[in-house]
Amino acid sequence: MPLRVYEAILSLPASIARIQAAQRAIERVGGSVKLAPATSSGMVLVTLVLPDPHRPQDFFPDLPFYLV
Amino acid sequence: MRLFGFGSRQIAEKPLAADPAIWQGDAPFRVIGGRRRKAGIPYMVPWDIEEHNRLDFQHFMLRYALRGNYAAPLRNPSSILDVGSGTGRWAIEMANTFPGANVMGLDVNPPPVDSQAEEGIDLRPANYAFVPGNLLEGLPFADRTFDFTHMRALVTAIPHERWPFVIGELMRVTRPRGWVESLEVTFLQGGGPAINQLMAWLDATLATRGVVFMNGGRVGDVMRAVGLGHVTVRALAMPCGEHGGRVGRMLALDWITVLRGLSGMTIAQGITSEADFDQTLEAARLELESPSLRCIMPLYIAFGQRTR
Repeated sequence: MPLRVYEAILSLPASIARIQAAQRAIERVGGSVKLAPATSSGMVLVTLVLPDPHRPQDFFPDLPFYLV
Repeated sequence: MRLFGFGSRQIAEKPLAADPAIWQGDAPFRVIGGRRRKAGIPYMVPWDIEEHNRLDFQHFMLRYALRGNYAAPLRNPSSILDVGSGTGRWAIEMANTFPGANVMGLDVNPPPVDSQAEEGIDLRPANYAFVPGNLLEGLPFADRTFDFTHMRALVTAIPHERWPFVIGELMRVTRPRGWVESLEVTFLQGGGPAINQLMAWLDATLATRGVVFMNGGRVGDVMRAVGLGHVTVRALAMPCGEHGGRVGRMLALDWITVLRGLSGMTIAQGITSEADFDQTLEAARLELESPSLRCIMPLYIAFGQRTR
C-alpha cells in the first residue's frame, strides 16, 4: 500500500495532545507521526505518514492536515 | 456541517513531491519554484521579502481604492483582531486609528516588524501585539474577546470545506454586538485569452489544495449560515489594467506579481510548463496594458454582527 505524507502546523496544546494520544493507533495501521521541535513562536510542524486508504480525517477529523 | 454546499464538494487533492521541509531559523519552509513557502499549511503563496513587499503594496492599494481600512459601522472598539495578519500593516494602522483599543494580529508567520524590533527598530504601537496561530486549527482566544474581527485576502489559504469552521471561529471570538468583516476577491473577469488562461491555471493549482477561489464571493452567505446578523455584502468591480487609471495599473501589477509567485506551484503540479507559463504571463501583462481591455477584479466586502 502506498504511503502518503501529510503535514499540519499547529499551536494549540489540545491539538498536540491529541496527536500524541493517537500515535499508537497510527502505528497500528502502518503509519507514523513526527512532531518537530516548536518554533520560537510556538508552532509545531506535524508530519503524518499514512498508508492508503487511511486519511488524517480518520484520526483527526478537524485538524488541518494536507497532502504534501 | 453542510452550508450552501460547503463540506459537500469532493475535491481531489494532489501531492507534490514530498521533499522534506527545510528549516530557516527555527521555522519550517519548503522551496518550490525557487520561492520559500511555509510548510504545514495549504497556502501556496510564497513567504519571503518579495511577498512582504507585495502584501504591503496590496494594503496601500486597497486602502486607497476603498478609502479606508474597514467598512463595518464601528463605534470605539476596545479590542480588534486581524486574522491572517501577514506583514501586520493593517493591524498596526488600526492600532494607530483606535489608540484606546488593543489590536492583535494572528498568523502562522511572525510579521517582519517583530524581527525588526528584535534588531532595535521597533515600529509597533504599544497597543498592538502579534499572536502566532493557524486559523484552520482554531483561534487561540476565548469566546467573546473582540469587538471587531477582521480577515482579508485569505481565500487561497482556506480549503473549501473549512469555510463554515473559519467564519464560525471568527464569530465565536467576537463579542455580542461586535462585527466580523471579510474582504476577498475572485477571478479576473473580462480579460483577454492570456488572462483567462492564467485564471484557469490558478483554479487548477488551488484545487490541488482543496481551495475554491470563487468562495471569495460567498463569504456573506457563510456569515448568514453560521448565525451572524445584519450581514451586508458590497460587491465592487475594480478596474484592473490600463483602463482603470492609477488604481487599475496598481491592481494589474499586484495580480502579475501574485501569479508569478504561484507559478512554481502550478509548474510543480504539472499543470503547465515553465515556458508556457512565462509566455502567457507576458501576454497577460500586455493585455492589461491595453486601454481597450475592460478587465475587472470582483472584490467582496462582507460584514456581519454577532447578535447574541
